Amino acid sequence: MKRRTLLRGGPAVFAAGTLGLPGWLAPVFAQPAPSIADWNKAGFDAKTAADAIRHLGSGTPASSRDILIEIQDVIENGARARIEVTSRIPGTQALSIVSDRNPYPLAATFSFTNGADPYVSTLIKVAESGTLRVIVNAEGRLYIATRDVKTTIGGCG
Amino acid sequence: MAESTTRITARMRQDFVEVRALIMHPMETGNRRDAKNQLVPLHFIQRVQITHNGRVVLDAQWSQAIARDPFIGVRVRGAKPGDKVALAWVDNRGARESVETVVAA
Repeated sequence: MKRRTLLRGGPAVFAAGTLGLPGWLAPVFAQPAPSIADWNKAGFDAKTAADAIRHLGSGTPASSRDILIEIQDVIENGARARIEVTSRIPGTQALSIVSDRNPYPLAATFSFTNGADPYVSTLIKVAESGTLRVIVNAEGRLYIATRDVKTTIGGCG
Repeated sequence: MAESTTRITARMRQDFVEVRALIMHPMETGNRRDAKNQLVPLHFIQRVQITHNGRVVLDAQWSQAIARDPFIGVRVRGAKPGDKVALAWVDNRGARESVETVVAA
């Protein structure tokens, strides 16, 4: 019965692994498992860009020209909008993408450590024409850059 | 889990390693209706971590606004061919997946 519990995974496997029991479980723990425990629920549940930004740190973000946002001015398919963001702000720890017309404007937060460039490339949904904002957290201070985009086909169906 | 697969590549560029990953995942917003006009429940990846030789280099928190079948590209300094790069994610239903690759020259 115990063996079956182990094979089924979940908390039982975790407990066994932390006790250092079966060697074959080791690869499972080679990497820290991502957790949703500290997922920014307040930020992601916010329904306006301003409210979302309030949950990204303290203080009002300062406008910055050192945040580069690469995205099409006219987004053909709002369900798959390619975006690349680079921060040139020294000490950048994280950047967040906010799309003000999305039902929930905060799309994502990316945190960089241990040699990662403050850069990310991804695909996002943009509901309709509006403003994209990127908020950078650098040594606890917030910076912001904005970009107006138009969508031909909206992306939040 | 059966409906998802993750692919990852890590390649040496001039002075950084370019990590690119593609995750097959529906990323449902909760607003979409299926063919029977029923709302498809919210289903999205919430957290993604990328590690280089076991150290976290990228820790991402996502909403349902990341596009279906998410793509992510990042750049890592101080990595070299042969190093291990791994990605792990967890979604709002508790499904998880992790994949590992080796930096190519």
